[in-house]
Amino acid sequence: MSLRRKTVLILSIVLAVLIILMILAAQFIVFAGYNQLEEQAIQNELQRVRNLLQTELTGLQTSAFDYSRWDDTYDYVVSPDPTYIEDNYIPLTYDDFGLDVIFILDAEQNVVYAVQHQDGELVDPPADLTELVLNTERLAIRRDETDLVSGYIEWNGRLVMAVSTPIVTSEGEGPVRGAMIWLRLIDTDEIQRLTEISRLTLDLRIINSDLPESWQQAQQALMAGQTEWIKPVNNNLIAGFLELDALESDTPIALLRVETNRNIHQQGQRSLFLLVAALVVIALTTFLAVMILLERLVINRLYTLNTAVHQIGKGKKGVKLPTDEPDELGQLAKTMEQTFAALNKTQNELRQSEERLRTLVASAPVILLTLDKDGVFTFLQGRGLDDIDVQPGQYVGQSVFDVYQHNPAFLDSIRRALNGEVFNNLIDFTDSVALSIWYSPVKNEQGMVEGVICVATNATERKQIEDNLRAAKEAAEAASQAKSTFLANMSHELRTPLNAIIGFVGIMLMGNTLSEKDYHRADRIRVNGERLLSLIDDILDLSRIEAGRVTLVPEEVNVREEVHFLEKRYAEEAKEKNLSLNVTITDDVPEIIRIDRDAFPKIIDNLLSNAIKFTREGSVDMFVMRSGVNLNIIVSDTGVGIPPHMHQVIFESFRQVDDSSTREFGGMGLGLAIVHHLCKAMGGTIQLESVVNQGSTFTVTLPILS
Amino acid sequence: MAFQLQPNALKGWRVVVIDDEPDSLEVVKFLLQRYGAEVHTATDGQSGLALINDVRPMFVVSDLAMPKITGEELVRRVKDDRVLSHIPMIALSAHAKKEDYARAISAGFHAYMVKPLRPETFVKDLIRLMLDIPHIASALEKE
Repeated sequence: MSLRRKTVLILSIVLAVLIILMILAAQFIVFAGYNQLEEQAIQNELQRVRNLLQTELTGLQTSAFDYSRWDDTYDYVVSPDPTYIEDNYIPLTYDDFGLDVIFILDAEQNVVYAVQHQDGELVDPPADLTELVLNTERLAIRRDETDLVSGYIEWNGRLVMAVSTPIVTSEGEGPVRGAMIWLRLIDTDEIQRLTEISRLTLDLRIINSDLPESWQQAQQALMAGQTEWIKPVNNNLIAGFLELDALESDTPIALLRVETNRNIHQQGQRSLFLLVAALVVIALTTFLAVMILLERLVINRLYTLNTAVHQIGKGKKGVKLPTDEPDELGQLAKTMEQTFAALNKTQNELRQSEERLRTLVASAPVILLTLDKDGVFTFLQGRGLDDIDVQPGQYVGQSVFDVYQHNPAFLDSIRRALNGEVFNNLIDFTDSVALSIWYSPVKNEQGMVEGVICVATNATERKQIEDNLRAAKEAAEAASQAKSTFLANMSHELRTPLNAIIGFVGIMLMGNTLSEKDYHRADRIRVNGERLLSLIDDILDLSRIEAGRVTLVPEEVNVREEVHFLEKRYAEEAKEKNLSLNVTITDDVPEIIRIDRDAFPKIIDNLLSNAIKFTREGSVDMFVMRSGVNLNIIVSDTGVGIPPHMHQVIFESFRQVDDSSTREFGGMGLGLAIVHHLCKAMGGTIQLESVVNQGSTFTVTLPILS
Repeated sequence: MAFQLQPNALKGWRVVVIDDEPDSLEVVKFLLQRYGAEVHTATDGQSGLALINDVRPMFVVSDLAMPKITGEELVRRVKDDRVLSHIPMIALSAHAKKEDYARAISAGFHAYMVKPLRPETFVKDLIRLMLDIPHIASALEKE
């Protein structure tokens, strides 16, 4: 509902209620007041009529008493003198007092004088009237000098005003000689006369069964005890009724009706009408004024403001808000203008920021996507989409579980992310494109997952490299495995003929059938066979060590026994080459050490074997000693030595100082490589100090004495 | 170390040697015969098993990789046979890896020797490996 309609409605209701209330108030207070005034007025009129009648009666009585208290009259009763009558009771007398009939009775109620004045003539009164007066005791009998009476009697359906006074002397002394009775017929003329005096419309009816309805109502009301009964005749006239009591019985014998104009009532009506009219005029004026003010001051301007805001809302530029008036609406417009300006600024900034972000996302070589908690795409952007032939936003509104149902690896990852996991993986998206995807769940304030953000980059090259690396690694492992298998097979295949060679040569050497020369030759076969065997063993060892298949198991080993066993083995060889071999184990070396049973002798074996092999003359010395938690094994020789540039490579497989030395000293140089590997496997080191043609010293340090 | 074997220590002992390599068979046979043993040879597992049944030897020296029945299958059958199960079986193989050794022992061989054998010490080493077997040890003490 518009403001205007609301105002009209509310204002109409308020004014209507107000008018109705005021009309009712006027009706019940003002108009009722007027009616009360009217009633009082008519009561006053009635009282005036009552007073008038009383005055008439009293006047009549007073006049009658003048005549009855008079010596002439006093005398006349006892000795009737016609002159008295002729002098005093002339037609003019009747006219003066408005009299119709005069009776003079003596003390015994005998009629002394009875005359009716009718049409200017003095005649005898009708017999029934005389009879009525004589029978009316209150009229006929006067008991003392002050016994005055006045009232109404009914005669022949007519109302008669009657007074009776005692006939006494002029001094008012008795004894009372009779009664002076004056009657006035209240006929139409009399009513007319009273009407003129009172300036009221009067009417009179004897109470009988022929009364009109309104008179009957009045009679009943008055009988019930009211002193008067008032009833409006119509809008212009109002009537009041009075009772007139009978002289004798004090019962009402006639009703007097007084009719008058309803001036007060009409005045009240006029006032009410004027009041209502004034109210309506005021209400309408107020209504119009309020409406006009509302239109001018509020609604028109609100409409203008609304139109302007609406245009601004539609994006129209340069719309001016009505800010001229310095009132609340002007203030509002001003505030709105400032708000719009601020909003506009913010919107521009936001748009720029959004634009930047959009450009960034759209041009970044990634794929940015968001899913809601049901896996429905809510965002899908990024230049990376080109790689997988997807348009920006293409799947927004669709479920990832429908779109990528052919890619279970991706869907599994999405499910993990929806379960709250943050992680990265590589997923094949097409035959040729792999994506590296970061998954991150989006959580609300309660920590519930509301969706997932994924950032994907093209990882095809990386995947290619990783695939290649894996393939290369697998190939290398396969090659390594093939090498191990080959070496194992080679070892087996070499040992089988070597078994025969060494076996048969052994048998030959056991017999005494060979010449000295042949024996020597056969022995060379044996020695070389054993060298070949040792080489095979070394190759096998090294391949196993290099393949990482050797697990060292520390056990309790009697180190001294092992060292002495090897010392004995190489003593003979040293002696043959004329070398002195000196082995020293210091006392601080424990007899029992936890060390791998195979690895420890192998280290010493190789070091001694090498030292003896590469020394032509001089000595080979070995020290086994303790240094803190370390067991040190030092082997020195006076051999060919190793040039500095070879100090590192000497520990690699199949390396010797030079090819010629291979020829001279035999062997393929696997020993030091094996020692190096074993030392490393035990957490130890091997160091070399050497001077060419002076000798070498190998120092092995094993941290095994903790 | 201190163990010494008399020249006729194995006199009257029946020994079965099984190897698909005739050269190996000949060398082992020669070396055992030097100590007086009565050596019976077979060149495959199947005939070797039959020979063991026939000869009821004091011990058996067998190669592992052989046609028809391998050394491991052979030792399993011997150990499953209540009559033969007490006969010590010694493996003599060119397989030098620890895994081969462990597999042979778990199949039922009493000991494992790697080819090439050393003629000077072969028989001594062989007998020494069986000294923990009561009837072998007591048979040696009689000499």
